[in-house]
Amino acid sequence: MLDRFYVIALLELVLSGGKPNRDKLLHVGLPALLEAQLQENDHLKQAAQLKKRVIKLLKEVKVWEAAVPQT
Amino acid sequence: MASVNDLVRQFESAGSPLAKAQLLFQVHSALLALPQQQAELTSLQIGSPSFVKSVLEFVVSGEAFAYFGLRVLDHMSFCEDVRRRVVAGGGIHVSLGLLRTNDYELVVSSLSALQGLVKADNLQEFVRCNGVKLLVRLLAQYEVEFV
Repeated sequence: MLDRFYVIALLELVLSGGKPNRDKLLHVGLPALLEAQLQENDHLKQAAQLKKRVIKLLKEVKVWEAAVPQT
Repeated sequence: MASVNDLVRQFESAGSPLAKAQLLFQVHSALLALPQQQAELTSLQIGSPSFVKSVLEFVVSGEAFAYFGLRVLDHMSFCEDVRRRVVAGGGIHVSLGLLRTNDYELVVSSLSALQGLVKADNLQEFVRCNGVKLLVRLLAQYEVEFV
């Protein structure tokens, strides 16, 4: 569980680091991975704080995803 | 009880990896026991480029308990000058490399160290060294084991 806290904290930092980094997060499929975290991983049910952070990160990534023009 | 400076001196002259790991454990314990301001001062005092280099070399050696080195570097990095030295010595690159292992203690210690080392001033280095891909890989796989 502890590793997930660190991973989410580092992803939050990357997300705050400007457009190229945000594009990279979209490119590696972060939204789908975060969705999967919320749906599949039992340990998130035991860690409300981590779940909140995952949801917040997912929202921010989705806002960014929506802002990217579709090609 | 030996002072932190004595422990650092002993670390630099210690021969066996186990003795080095034990000394790093003691350094970390001693830093944890200090009030934060004093811990930062002590970190600045002991965190010379040569000590940082020796600890990083120990960490990449792949010896058992190498994560004790990461914990010491992580703790010393509260001090901004030491953080810069660790980053300059390749701390980000080393920590990212260790994320590829399946050793839970090592992975968690590496992530903790990265959280301390990576700031806005070196975020691009983290990204350039495949940091994002490695984080996503960790997120995609099940945990090695629960704490």
